[in-house]
Amino acid sequence: MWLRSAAGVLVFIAFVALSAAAFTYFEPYIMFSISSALFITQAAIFLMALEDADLKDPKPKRYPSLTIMVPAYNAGETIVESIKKIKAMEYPRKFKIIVMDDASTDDTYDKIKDIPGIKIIRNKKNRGKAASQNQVLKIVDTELVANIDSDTFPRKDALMKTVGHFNDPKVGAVTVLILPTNTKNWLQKVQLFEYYNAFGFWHKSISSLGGMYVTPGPMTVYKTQALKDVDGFDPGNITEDMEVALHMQKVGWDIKCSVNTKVLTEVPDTLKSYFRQRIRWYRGKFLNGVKYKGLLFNPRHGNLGLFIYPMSFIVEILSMTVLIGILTINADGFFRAVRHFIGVVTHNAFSLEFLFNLDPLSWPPYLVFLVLTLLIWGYLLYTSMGFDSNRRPRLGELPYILFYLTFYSFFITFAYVMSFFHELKGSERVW
Amino acid sequence: MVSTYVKGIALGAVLLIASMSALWILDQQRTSILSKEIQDMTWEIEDSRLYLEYLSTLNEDSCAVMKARVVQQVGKSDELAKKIDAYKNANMFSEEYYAIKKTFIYKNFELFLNFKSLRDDCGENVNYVIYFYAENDPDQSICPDCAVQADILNTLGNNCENTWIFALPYNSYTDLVNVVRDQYGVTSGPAVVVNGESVHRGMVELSTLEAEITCGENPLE
Repeated sequence: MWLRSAAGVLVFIAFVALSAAAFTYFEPYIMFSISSALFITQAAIFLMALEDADLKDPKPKRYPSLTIMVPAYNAGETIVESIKKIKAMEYPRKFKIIVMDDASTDDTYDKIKDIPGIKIIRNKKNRGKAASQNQVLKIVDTELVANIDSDTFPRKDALMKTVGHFNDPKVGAVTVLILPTNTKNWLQKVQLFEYYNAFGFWHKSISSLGGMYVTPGPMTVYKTQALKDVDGFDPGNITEDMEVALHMQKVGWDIKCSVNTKVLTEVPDTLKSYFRQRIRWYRGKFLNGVKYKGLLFNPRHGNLGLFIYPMSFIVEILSMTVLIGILTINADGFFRAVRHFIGVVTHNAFSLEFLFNLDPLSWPPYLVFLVLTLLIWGYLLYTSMGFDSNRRPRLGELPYILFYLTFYSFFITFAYVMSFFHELKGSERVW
Repeated sequence: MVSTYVKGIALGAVLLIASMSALWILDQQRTSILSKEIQDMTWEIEDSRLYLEYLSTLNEDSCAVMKARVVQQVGKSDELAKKIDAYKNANMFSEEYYAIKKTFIYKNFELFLNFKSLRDDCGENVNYVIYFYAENDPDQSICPDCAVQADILNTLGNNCENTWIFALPYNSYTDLVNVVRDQYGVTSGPAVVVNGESVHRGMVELSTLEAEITCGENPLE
């Protein structure tokens, strides 16, 4: 085991060294130009896909029978409100609600036991989210089954907007626009804009190209048969919502996305919980990348296999390379600052002088690419926000939007690097 | 119907070409500004040199004239040096920076000779410091201490108004600098020569340099 960990760490060190060498050997602007070209082209293709896509949801030809599963673990604070919202969802026929209490140690059960119209299953021992979902799946006898997390609050029209996509018999799942419900501190406010872009623009674009590789946990409506075809959710997977989507794609089901309704969900409020969540997500991505490597560059899987899924990895790897490159080209200044700080040298020559240089002609060339990237991302965000009842950015939101467009990518990339490291090292995977 | 990919790649290409064009225009503008400023400096120095030569044919004291001319030129030279370095780092396409830098090194050397003459021949209380650094080393892998040394010398110049720093790349492509470098036995950067006498190879602290010069007010103002 230790040999595997050591080999993993060595591979990680080799990756860091190669990335640093690339930025030292080539002029940094060449590396920045190549990565910018790739990021911009990918965004442009997705933008064109969105232009070509029909943003309206299909009108349902019929209303299939439906069960809503609510996996819950220590959800005492949110589950009552969540069930209230679920029950308030419009649907022309009665639907079942099954809450799976996975051995909560808080008052989850006490709070819901008297709510009428829901079925509650209680586990004596905690089995994990995927196993709980599979327990429910075994007893589902409806055509559709929707998963809604116990900290998620769907809008009234969430079902009506999604079921029309099942007119197409090849559609196995439909996802929705997911947004944070609790945007109290700066981290949550910044995540709001990330969610707009990720669950709005990106998901709609890749689903219109037939390349959705995730059915987000907070809310997805599945065709029961599609879930059964892939034997439900993988209990051993830390991102079971991605695994199930890739598995469904692999066996030929299509996944659609509706951006005309939204569900609100809880998002991390501290950096610790944020990085814990992200490292789980991205480790899950690597893990599923290995499990479903057969999809990569496979023409049988069309846009997903040939472009969307491989690009998602290429962009992540390139992001890590660029982060390491930025650290490398600034490392000398950083070490000089450290030497100054510990008193080895009396002068601190580390500065971000160029940021305050009023002569724009002396600004580094990669600032042009940075500005272009900001404009593109800004436009994508603006488009994504428009999905939410034509919502437009407010003046007070500007600092968070700017932070999201600039420094936030370092957070994401740092989480990529940490996930990559843990996955190579073989650290224990925790949900 | 045109494929989504064709349209996307076309849009991406247009955006990238627009960015590259913007960078190219910026490069041209920077080169043009620097070329004009270096030309102005060249004319001024040439003007001074000929004037001083003319005075010497008349056996007249040239110190007062030299003092007045040097004051004007040294300020401009410092500004231009900063601009050349900043523009060179920002440059992406233009190859003209090396020619501009070479011209600048020659003109700066002429200024240095005038300073030397002010101190040695005219007895002015001025100090000249030659600073050898590594050229073409944006990541400072050849000379990791050069930036720190430059900062120390900037502080020295700020603290002592009668001290001027002349930065020369020790790995220069100009024969002139190579001759001076060899004269002082400099093989790597940073290296500092104070008033043509004291040679420091490797990094030197501010206190050491301050001890070697007579710090005073700017006598040229």
